Amino acid sequence: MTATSTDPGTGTGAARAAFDPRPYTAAGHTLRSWLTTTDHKRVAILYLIAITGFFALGAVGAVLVRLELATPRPDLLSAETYNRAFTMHGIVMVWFFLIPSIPNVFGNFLIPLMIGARDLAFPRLNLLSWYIYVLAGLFTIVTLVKGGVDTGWTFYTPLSTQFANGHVLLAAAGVFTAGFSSILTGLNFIVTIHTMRAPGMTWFRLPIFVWSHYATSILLVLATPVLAMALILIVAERGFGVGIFDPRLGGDPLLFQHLFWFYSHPAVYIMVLPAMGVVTELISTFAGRAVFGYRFVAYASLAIAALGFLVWGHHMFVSGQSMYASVVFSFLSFLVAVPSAVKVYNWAATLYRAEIRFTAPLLYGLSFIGLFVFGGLTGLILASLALDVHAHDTTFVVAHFHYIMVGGAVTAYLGAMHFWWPKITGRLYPDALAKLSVLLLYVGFNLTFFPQYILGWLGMPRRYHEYPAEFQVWHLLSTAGAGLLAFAYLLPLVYLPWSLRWGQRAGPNPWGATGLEWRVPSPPPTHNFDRIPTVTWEAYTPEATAETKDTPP
Amino acid sequence: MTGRTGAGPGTTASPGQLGLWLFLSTEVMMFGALLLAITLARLGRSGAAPFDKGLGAANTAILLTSSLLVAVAVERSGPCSGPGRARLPLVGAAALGVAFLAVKAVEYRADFAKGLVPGPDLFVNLYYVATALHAVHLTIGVALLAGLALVRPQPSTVEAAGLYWHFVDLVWVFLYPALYLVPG
Amino acid sequence: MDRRLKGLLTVWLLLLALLGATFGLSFLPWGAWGNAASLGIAAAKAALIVTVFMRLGASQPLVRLAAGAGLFWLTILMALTLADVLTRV
Repeated sequence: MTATSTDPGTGTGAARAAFDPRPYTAAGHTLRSWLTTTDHKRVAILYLIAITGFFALGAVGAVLVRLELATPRPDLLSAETYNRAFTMHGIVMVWFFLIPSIPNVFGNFLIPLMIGARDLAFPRLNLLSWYIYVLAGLFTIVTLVKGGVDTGWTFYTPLSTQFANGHVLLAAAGVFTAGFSSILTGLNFIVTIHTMRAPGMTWFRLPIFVWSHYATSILLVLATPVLAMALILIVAERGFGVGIFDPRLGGDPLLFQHLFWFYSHPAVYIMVLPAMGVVTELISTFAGRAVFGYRFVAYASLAIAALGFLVWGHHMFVSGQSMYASVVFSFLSFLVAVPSAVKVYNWAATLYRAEIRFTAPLLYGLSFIGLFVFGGLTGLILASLALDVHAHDTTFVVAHFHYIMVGGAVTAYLGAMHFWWPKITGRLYPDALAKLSVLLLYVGFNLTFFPQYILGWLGMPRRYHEYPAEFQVWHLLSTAGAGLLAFAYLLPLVYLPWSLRWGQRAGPNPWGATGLEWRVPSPPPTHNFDRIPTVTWEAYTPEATAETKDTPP
Repeated sequence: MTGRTGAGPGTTASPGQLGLWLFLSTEVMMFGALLLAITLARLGRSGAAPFDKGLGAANTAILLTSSLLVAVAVERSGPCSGPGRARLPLVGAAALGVAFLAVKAVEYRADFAKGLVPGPDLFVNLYYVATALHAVHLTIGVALLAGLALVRPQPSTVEAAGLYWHFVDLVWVFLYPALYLVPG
Repeated sequence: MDRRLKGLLTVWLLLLALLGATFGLSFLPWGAWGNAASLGIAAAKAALIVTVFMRLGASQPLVRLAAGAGLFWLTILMALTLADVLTRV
C-alpha cells in the first residue's frame, strides 16, 4: 500500500506538496486564527478552554450546596435558592462539562493522530459543533443564573411543565441546542474512524482509546435525539399549553421519564467509556506491555454501548412503572456489569507482574479504577429491586453516581490531561505536584462522597437543604472533603499553565508510549504527519515505539 | 459519489454518504420518540381520529410524487447527464412541497373551525406537535431543493438533499396512519 | 424512457396503490386489525422508498448498517417502554 492519502474536505492534497513542520500552535497567534480554525487540535484547545470555564461555573453550584449542608438548619440559602444551586450544578456539569469533556478535548485532539489521519472527516462541522456548544452553554448559564431553574437536571414532569417557577423553557432550549453539538461530534468521529484510518491500521490495531470513542459516538448519535424530543415536548407543554404528559388529559408523566432516561442512562456511558479508553492507554503505557485481552477490551466497549441502551428503567423502580418491566430492567442492569468487569479484570491482568512506572498519569488511572469499581458495585445495589426501594432518592444514589461520574470520568479526564499534556503543549509539568494533586483528589473525593453513602443508607433524602441534627457529622465530613477536592482540582490549574512557560521541553515520546500520536513531534505539526504512516505492527507492541522512544523522565 | 478516500483498509462508503445516513438515523430516533408518544396516546383513547383523512391522503400523494421527482433529479444529475437536467424535477418537487404546506394550512383552518384546537385533547395536541415538526423539516427541504435548482450543484449534493427529502416523506408515511387512520 | 426511470415510475405507482389501499381499508370496521393493516402498509411504503428512491438496496453494507442502526435502537425504545405501559397493574 502506498503512503498517499487524500482525505476529503481538509485540503491536505495541497498541504502534502509543502508540508509545514511548525507545530500547530504556531499556525497563527491571533484570536481570529483560533476562532476560525478547522484544525482538530486547535478545536480541541477551544473545547479545553470552554470546558474548564463551565467546570468552574458548575463547581460554584456544588460549593453552595456543600456549604448549605454544613449545618442542619437552612441558614445560607433559602429552599428555592438551594434548589436552583443543585439544578445549576447538575445541568452545567452533565451537559456542559462531563458529556463533552474527554471526547471533545482528547478525542478531538487524538483520534486523527491515533489513526494516522490529518484531520477529522468533517473539520468545519467540528468547529461548528464547538460554536453550538459554547453558545448553548452561555445561553443556559445566563438562564440558570438570571431566572433560576429548580427542577433538578432531570426536568421531571409534571413538576417541570406545571409547577416549577423559573426559566425551565429556556434552559430546556439551551440543553436541546447543545445536543446538536453532541450529535455532530459523534457523527464526525464515526465517519472518521471508518473512512480515514492510515494504510495498515486495521480495526484490531486501533488503540482502545479509539474503540471506546467509537462506542461513545454511537451513544451520542442515537441517544441524544430522544432527549431532544423529550425537551421539545416539555417546551410544547409548558410554553404553548399543549399538554403531552399532563395526567388530566390522559397523558403519562412516566413517558417523559422513559424518554429522558433512554438518553440519560446511556449518557453515563458517554462519560465513562472515553474514561475507560484513557485508563487503558495509561495502564498499558506504564505497565510497559500490551493490553491484556485486547479484543475482549475492545468488544467490551461495544457491549457496554449496546447494553447501556437496555437498562434505563432502573431509574424508575419506584415511579409506578410496571413491576414486570422493572424485573426486566433490573436483570438487564446486572448484565452491564459483565463488560465493565471484563475491562477491570483486563487492566488488573495488564498490571500483574509488570514493571510499573508510578507516574502521575498512572496514579490518576489507578484512582479511576478504585473509584469506578466502588461506584459500580454500589450501582448493583441500586439495580436490585428491593434494595432500591430503600435507597432511592437518598444521597446513597448521589454518592453512587458521583463515584462513577466524578471519581471515574473526571479523574480519567485529569489522567488524560497529565498523560497527553506533553504532546499537546510540548512541555513537561512538575511531577511531584501532580502526584500531590492525585493524592489530594483520592482522599478528598472519598471524604466527600463516602459519607453520603452512609447518610443515604440512614435515610437522608437527596435535594433537601435541611436535615436532622444527628446527620451533621457526616455532612461536615463531606463538606470538608469537598474543600480538599476543590484544592486537588485547582492545583493542576496552577502548575499546568505554569509549565507552558517554564516547564521542561518534551520530546515526541516522553513516556515511551505506543500509538501513532507519539511518533510526531510535540506539539504536532498542523497537518500531523509529513508522510501518512503505513502501519505494520499490532497495537501496544514494542515495534510501535521503536523509532521514537526517548528517555522517560 | 464524492471521492472514495482509499486511505484506509475497509474503506467502502464515502464520508458524506455515511455521515448523512447517520444523521438520518438520529432523525429516526427523534421522530420515533414522537411516534411512541402518539402510540401511547392512542392506547389511552377511544373513537376514530377526528382529522380529515381525505386531505391527509391527498398530502401523502403529493409527497410521494415529490419523492419521485427528487429521485428523477438525482438520476439526472449523474455524470452522464447534461448540465441543468436536474433543475426541472427539483423545481417540481419543491413546488409540491409548497403545495403540501398549503393543504396543511387549509386543514389547520378546518380543524380550528371544528374546534380541534391545541390544548384540551392529548391526541390533538400530539397531532399539532407532530405535524408542525414535520412542516419545519419540510420547509427546510423546500429551501434546499429550491436552492439547488438555482445553482449547478455537484451530483453528491443533489443526492444528499434527495436523501433528506425522501426522509421527510418517510416520516409522513408513518404520521399519516398514526394520526389520521385510527379505527373507531 | 430508460430502465431506471421506468423503475422509479413503477415504484411511484405502487406507492400510490398502497396509499389507496390504506385509505380504503380505513373505512372497514376492523378494529385493532385496522391498525395492523395500516402499519403494515406504511412499512411496505417505507421499504420501497428506502430501497429504491434512497438507493439503500444498492448501497455499501456500512451505509446500510448506519441506516439500520436508527431502526434497531428505535425498536428497543418502543419495546421496553411498551413493556412497562402494557403491563402496569
